[in-house]
Amino acid sequence: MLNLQQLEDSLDKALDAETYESLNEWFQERDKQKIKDFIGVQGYLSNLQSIQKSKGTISVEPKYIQEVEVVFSSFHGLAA
Amino acid sequence: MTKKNRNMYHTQGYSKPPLTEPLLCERDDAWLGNGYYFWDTEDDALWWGSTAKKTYTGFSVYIADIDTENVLDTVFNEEHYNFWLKQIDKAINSIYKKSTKKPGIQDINEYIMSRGGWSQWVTGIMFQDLPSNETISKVTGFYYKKRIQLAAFDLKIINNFAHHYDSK
Repeated sequence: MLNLQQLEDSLDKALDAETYESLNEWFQERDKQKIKDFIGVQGYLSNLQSIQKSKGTISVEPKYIQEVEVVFSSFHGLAA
Repeated sequence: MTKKNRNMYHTQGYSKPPLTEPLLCERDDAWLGNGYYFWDTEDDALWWGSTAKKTYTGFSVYIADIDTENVLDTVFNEEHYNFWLKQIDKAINSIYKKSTKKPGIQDINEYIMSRGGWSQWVTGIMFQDLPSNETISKVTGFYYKKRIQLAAFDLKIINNFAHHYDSK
């Protein structure tokens, strides 16, 4: 059973300790992680496409790779 | 103590062979952040498949027993709902004050779960989604049926996950 008081105390402690710097640092770390994730997805799809070309067994439509690249580019701009 | 279980439904694009476990949703607009999302009713699971899985050749619905012992139930438990409202408002106000960034849905939820420490205790959140599925409400504009979802954060609370239905 959840202890609501414990949850509230934990959140209050985090919010009270937060500063402008610490919070923005957290946001920036999350953005960096998202960029890493997109690089991973982009690589994964490219690999699938390579397999498709060599084996002709897996179908990855180019539009999906393009979509990932567009999103990736926007995140890349965000980090710059 | 008896475990609290709830039968719920998970919708994904059609896959053969069927999934053996649910897929983690990591979309930025996911209501409660990263999680395994389940519908409370089969009707909503089917509706979601027919509306949100159009890029697939079809969709599949899976069924599972969810252990809700440590799930925050903002739908049926009034104490949990009031608590949830208070915490969300508090987190939003505080983040607004201390950041130059306007927080989004995922920002708030991830903050509470990870930074706020809830992930060590809360295994899922059950919540009422937007009731916009006109095909299920028999009277247009009369949203008498709650559209309920669960975001499960821990695979361990998802038991007996099984393939239930295919639409191709």
